[in-house]
Formats: sequence, C-alpha cells, structure tokens
Amino acid sequence: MARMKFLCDAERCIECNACVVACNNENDVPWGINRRRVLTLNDGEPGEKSISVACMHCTDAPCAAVCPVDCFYTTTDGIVLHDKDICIGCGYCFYACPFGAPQFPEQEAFGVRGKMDKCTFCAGGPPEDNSVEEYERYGANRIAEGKLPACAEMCSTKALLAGDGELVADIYLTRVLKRSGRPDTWGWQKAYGAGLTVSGEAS
Amino acid sequence: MTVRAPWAVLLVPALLPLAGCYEELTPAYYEPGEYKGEQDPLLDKLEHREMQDELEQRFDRTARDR
Repeated sequence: MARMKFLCDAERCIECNACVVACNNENDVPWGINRRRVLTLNDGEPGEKSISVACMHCTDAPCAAVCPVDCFYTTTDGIVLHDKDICIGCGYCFYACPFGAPQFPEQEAFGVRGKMDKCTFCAGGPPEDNSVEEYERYGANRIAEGKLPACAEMCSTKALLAGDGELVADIYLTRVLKRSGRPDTWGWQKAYGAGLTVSGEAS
Repeated sequence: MTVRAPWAVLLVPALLPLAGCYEELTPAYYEPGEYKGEQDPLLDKLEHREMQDELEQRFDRTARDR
C-alpha cells in the first residue's frame, strides 16, 4: 500500500508561488485562506532557500491527536482528512500543527472561527466523490480521478513532489546523489517520524 | 364558570408559544480517539490495486524530470 507524502526540494524551489495559485484555483479556496504557502528562509541574503508548505499529512498527526471531537480520519494510504460536520472550530489543531496547516475562515467575536480548512492532498472529504457538496466544502477530489495534488503537478521545477513516499524518496535521492551535498528534507522527519530515513525505512 | 371561560380562552393561546420551547436534552456523545463522522467513499476506492497503479503511473508522468 502506498504511503502518500509531500516533499519540497528547497534546492529547486524558485518561490514562484505557482503551487499556491494552483491550490487556490483547483479548490476554489475562499479569500483569506491559503492551504499552501511558500516560505523563504534568509530572504534577500545569499543562499536563501524557499519551501512550499501545507499540511504534510503526518504519520502520527498531532492535529488528530488533540482534536476534542475526533473529526480527523486517515485514508489507507496516509492522507489525513477531516469532517467539517463534526469540527467545532476550537482551533486546537492549529496550535498542535508544526506546519501551521489548519486555517479558519472566520474571525468573529467570542473566538468564533468557523470550520477548520486545510490541504486535503486533493482528496476531498466525506461527501460523495466529486459531488458538488464535496467540492464546495472540501475542494477538488483529484485522487478519486487518479490524479495527484494540483500543486505538485503544476510545479515547473518539480521541486514539490507529492505521491507514494517510496517513489518520492527515490527521486529525491537520485537528485542528491547527482548534485552532491547533504539532503535537506525540510519537515520530512517531523511529519513522518524521526526514526525514518529518507527512503521511508526505519533506521 | 361563566366568569372563568374567557380567561381560559386567553390562557390557551398564551401558553401555546411556550410549547415550542422544548429542547432535546440528549447530548452528542463521542468515544475518544474514534472517528464518528460519515464514511468517505474514497477509502473503498483506494483499496483497489488499479487505483494504486493509476496513481503510480500518474506520478511517473508528472513528477519525474522531463
């Protein structure tokens, strides 16, 4: 069984934000919400690095661990999804997530934030696959159509990789060996476990 | 009796709106750590080998360098 993972190759990311635009366009994300964003480390200095960040679909997702109403579920290939009918908008997941993935559409009195929204790996949510209801509430379900997340497929430099962890690691290792230097798998160990190597095997 | 009848006529309509104030007092109960929401149909689809193959082929087409 595949284990879906994201990996952003910081050596290749050119901060074009095409992944952000692709995500917003594909999922018709409302204003004020960015399921994905590009962060630049040491911006403007020599050797700056950019990385594209969204929900990493963690192996042991901290958002799911702290959710008081257990609105999270994980697909058999490791995509972390949630049910907006159950979400109470408490924001615990936002505090628990090391990647700042959970987003809230509202900002009102008494801490009302609305239902949490986050990257779904373009896998939609609980409603019928590719139905209008699913699209309006969770966005596109490309996985059900046999496609991969729009952000990764749109990436012109192939910096952002999304798919089976074994295949992603294979491509990344080939690149590192070709260009030499240390592998810089930003967020990989935090999301998928400190005891895992880049190939996904236990060390 | 003849004096109380008009009061009763007024009292009944006055009490009727209160009949709508009943509230279901059974709270939602969740087992900790167990997803209780609607089943996602995608979960069944992902079990099929064809689906996995399709995603792998898609990855080969889109993620590898041109």
